[in-house]
Amino acid sequence: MKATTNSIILEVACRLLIPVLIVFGIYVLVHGEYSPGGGFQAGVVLALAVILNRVMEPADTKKGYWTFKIIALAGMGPVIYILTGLWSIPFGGNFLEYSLLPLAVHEAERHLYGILLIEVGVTVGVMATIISIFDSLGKVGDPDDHGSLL
Amino acid sequence: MKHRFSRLSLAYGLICLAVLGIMVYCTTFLPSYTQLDNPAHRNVAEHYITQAKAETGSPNMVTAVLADYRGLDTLIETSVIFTAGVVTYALIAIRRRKNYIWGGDEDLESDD
Repeated sequence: MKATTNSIILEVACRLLIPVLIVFGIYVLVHGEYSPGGGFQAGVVLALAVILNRVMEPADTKKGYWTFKIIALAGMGPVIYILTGLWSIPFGGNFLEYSLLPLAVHEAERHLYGILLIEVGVTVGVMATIISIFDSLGKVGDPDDHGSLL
Repeated sequence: MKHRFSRLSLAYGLICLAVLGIMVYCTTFLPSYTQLDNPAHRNVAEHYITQAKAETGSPNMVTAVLADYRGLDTLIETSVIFTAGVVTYALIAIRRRKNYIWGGDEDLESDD
């Protein structure tokens, strides 16, 4: 017989928390230039939403861990950052010179979008790294697992 | 004959020791602690506090330092976090694949 839940309390709390965490993580990301917040914090909050979902699953379900895909996603974070930095070079800027990005808005707004892009890179990197560490640790005791690297 | 440590892991250990030696040697080039005339204490903090808004246009001083003055530093920080994830994954995956890689030495499995 399969369990349907680990604990009612855990499940109800997680169902309330996970949507709030996702919305709050995106808020912290896009509001990072004006207020306390930014990529690192938003990444941790978004990763917590996924990890709470993992914790909430019943103990005897086959868990869908994403180890290798999520490592590839974590590598996309620095790639987004570097591409944003390189984007201004063909338009006469230095590396990470946001005010010369080819966007048809005011200079301060170009600066804001440049910072938002690098914060998205940081968020993706941090979020995927934390999820990948959790998933790698979760695969250790899996008796069906024979150590496939992918 | 059974080796407790393979030659490969001995080579990895030597590489790690060499990198550690290089890093310890490089710390001798850093400014010493508790010196008031270090570059970090001289004028850079005052410059950031007074000029950040005018130079970067960012309303938040922390963001100005994080993304403008120290943009490359933040890039390397992100790479460090990515490296931490890769290393955790590699250590655990290598542990799971130990039998496959090093030919099923049962002694290696019993050390936890």
